[in-house]
Amino acid sequence: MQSYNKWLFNKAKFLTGFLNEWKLIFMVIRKSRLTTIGLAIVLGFTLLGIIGPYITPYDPMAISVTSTLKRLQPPSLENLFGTDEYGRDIFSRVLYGARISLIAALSVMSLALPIGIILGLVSGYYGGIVDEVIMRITDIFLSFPGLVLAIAFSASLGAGLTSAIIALAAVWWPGYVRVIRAQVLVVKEMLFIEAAKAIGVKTSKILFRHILPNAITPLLVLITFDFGSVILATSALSFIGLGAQPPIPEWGRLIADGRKWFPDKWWYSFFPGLAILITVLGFNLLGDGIRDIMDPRYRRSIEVRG
Amino acid sequence: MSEPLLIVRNLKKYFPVKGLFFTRGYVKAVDGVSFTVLKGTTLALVGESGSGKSTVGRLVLRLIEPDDGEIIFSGINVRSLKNEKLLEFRRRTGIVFQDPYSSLNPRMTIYDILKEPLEAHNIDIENLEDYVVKLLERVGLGREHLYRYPHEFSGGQRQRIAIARTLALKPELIVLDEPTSSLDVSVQAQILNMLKEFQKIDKLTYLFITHDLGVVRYMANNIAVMYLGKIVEVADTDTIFSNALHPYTKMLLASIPVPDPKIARSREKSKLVGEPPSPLNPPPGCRFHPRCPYAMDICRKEEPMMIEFEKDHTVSCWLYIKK
Amino acid sequence: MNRKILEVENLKVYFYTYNGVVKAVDGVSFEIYEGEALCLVGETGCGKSVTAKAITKMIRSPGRIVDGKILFNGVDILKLNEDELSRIRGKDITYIYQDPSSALDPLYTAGYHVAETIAVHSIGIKIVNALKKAVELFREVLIPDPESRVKSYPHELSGGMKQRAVIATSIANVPRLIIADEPTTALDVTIQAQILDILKELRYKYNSSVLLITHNLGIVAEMCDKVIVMYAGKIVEKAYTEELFEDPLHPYTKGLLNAVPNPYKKVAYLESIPGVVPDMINIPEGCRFRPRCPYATNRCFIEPKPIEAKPNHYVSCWLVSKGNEI
Repeated sequence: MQSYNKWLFNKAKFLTGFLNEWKLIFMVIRKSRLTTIGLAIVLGFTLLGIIGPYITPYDPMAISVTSTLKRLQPPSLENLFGTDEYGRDIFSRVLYGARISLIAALSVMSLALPIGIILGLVSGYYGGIVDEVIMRITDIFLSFPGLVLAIAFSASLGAGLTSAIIALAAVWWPGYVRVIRAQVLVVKEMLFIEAAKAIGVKTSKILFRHILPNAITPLLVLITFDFGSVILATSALSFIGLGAQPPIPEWGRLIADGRKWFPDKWWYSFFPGLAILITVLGFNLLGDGIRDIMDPRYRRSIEVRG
Repeated sequence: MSEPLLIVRNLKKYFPVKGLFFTRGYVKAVDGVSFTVLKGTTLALVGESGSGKSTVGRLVLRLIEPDDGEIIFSGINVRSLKNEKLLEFRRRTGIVFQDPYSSLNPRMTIYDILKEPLEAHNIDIENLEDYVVKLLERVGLGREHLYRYPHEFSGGQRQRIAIARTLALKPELIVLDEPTSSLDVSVQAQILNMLKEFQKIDKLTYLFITHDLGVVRYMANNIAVMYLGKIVEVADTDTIFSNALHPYTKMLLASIPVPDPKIARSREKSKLVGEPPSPLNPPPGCRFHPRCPYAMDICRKEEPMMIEFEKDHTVSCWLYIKK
Repeated sequence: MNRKILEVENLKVYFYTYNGVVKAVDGVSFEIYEGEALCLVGETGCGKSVTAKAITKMIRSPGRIVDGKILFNGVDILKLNEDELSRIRGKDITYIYQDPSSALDPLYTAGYHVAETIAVHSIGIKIVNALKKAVELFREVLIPDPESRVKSYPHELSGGMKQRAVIATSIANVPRLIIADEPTTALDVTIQAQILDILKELRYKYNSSVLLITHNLGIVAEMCDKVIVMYAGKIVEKAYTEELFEDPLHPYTKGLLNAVPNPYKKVAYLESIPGVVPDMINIPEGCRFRPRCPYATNRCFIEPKPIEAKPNHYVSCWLVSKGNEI
């Protein structure tokens, strides 16, 4: 086992052309069983999100005369998670829901991240009045509980997954500004930034080539946790009716639909809920592991063998 | 006889200390500093922490904006430069920092680091890779190091890379801010030898900032001693070591541990007292008077001006100012 | 004739990392006598700091003391347990480290540190009473206005003051051995001189021995009676200070002395030692200095043993045989 680890380590070192990214994955696996489980869940979720719809045993949306005969059947070999009130296979719907959640999370992040990062960079680097203005706006957003604000936005934009995504992105970007700004404040004091100035490198280049790549590391941990949180938030919005609308099988929506029949037909709400639980847990475990790995003290201690 | 490449007159930099609602005071980091550096020579700026020497290095290159004073580089008024003219100034100057561990971007390869200056100035070179390799070879590294990352190198090697980066644009003036202070003795010797060689071949001018008088003896033609934001004495190297005038210079010379037991034990230490005061509240009059064994009444009240004691030897001390 | 305070016999400290085994200290032996100041000189990675820490078994994973004996007053310290060791640490053997800021707990006053050291090692003395002793000690280390300084917190003190406070802690219990690891490297030159003077005075006053670790040959010349030069985990030369500076025998020592710029001697060229310190995992065969040595011969592929080339002057080098140098 030791020699296998050593082989892995050496391979990871060899690929250190990408700095610590490969080493990171190796370290993740080494860190603990839980972290590996987290990684497995995240990878599994992503995989399902991509290929899920192609492997569903039944059409997640199909309602037909024959299927209504199979209303609200408990889990069986035919329908692993049972059926809903329209006879649709819940397993297929949950599988499809993975894609919905994945797309929702990716959309929210790809809206919130660029805004947050750019504002954080500008705020941290320039300081002064620019910093004050950006931070005050950010503070205003942050002073509201996220979900409440998201509900408010979502409601005003109208129901639907798209509005939910926009609402969540609007709630999420301020957090990133804070994190990036804090790192930028540290990085901008480093000598290689001064060196770049002394060479005559343009400010925009300094920001994106020197500061950003070095400021982004704590964000990695946050992003991991946030993926889980966004999925949870999307489900929450859908649960109360503001997010995905039927017949879209978003997990939160499914739980809401299944409420009518709870606890008799428990499988309806249970399995989508389980899916959320496992997915968010996976991201959290992975995020925990990555955060510990990023801690330089931990890094030093893993150099130990025997 | 060489002409002055860099002339600095009455340079000042005050850093505001912010209180809760208003500025509490100013740290007078650099308070009226003037000196000249002749082309092809090395001027050492010597002082301890709080002397302001590192700040001067950065002010001269406008990495920090001066609050007052003149900086004339090759006849050009540096403070008024903008845009392309400023960029041109940056091409003709360079800086090497003390800490080799944070002066290179950990996310860039050596190749990226070394070609960045050329890109920043839109200089097109055929066979860029070969040019960069030649730079590396000049500092004792090789082609095999091109695509590696800084963390794969030792402190001494990183410093070599930093020097190579400075040389990429063929500058005329290089500010060296304690370039070897964090390196081992044997590595330091290699780097210093290399710097001396480059100075001869490329006719470089150095502003060498350090606290190590041994290094100064080896590298510098002229020495300017700084204390708490002011220059207290300027002379050529031999004169400072044989005939130092200012009590602080003498204290500095008396403090350095000499790597020769015979001299070390027989040397009389001047009574070394006190700590450098906070630059936030410098004492009135001559800043050195609380620690000066020769302090007189006037020293406590008025600041001495800089006078030329003998040719090319200036000092700022009441002991030498005749009424 | 002074008695031996400390005897280190064939000390080996290895670090077990995934990259390989780092033989940081690989067979180091020396003695310290009462009242003597001994300097361990070497560059980064030579093992001097590790040796210092090993003396009171303060080596943490992935490091391990693999072999050797450390006899303090005849007792092998390495065989003692943590309890017995903690009775020695801070009392008979004390440390001064390079960074005084991390040696002092920011939550406690400077005086408290000294008082704690006294109280911990005595029976029945309360910290409150020990504080009075702290004031006296502060005066001894030339901290001005000691009565109020004992109440200062570390962040209120300058670097020099902090280091003085640390020194006060280290002499509080009249130790037999003070181990100072680069005590002045982080300080300004003028403050450094003051600190070294204080150390010298205290040494004479209390007749404590000092093990001074440094890379600065000037400090060695000023402070120490005897010098040990280390390279890549081994001792290459051992001699009295004047003897070492006047007649260095090992090529590394010669190279080191030449590489240090002496402010009182103007030279045209600093002779540097070519190459770099070896990788401590893949140590060169035979003499560790061989790859960089201008005088290396084939014999150097076998590790040289230390010999007494001149009275009280030990070298590990094939070029030097007893009595004469090649």
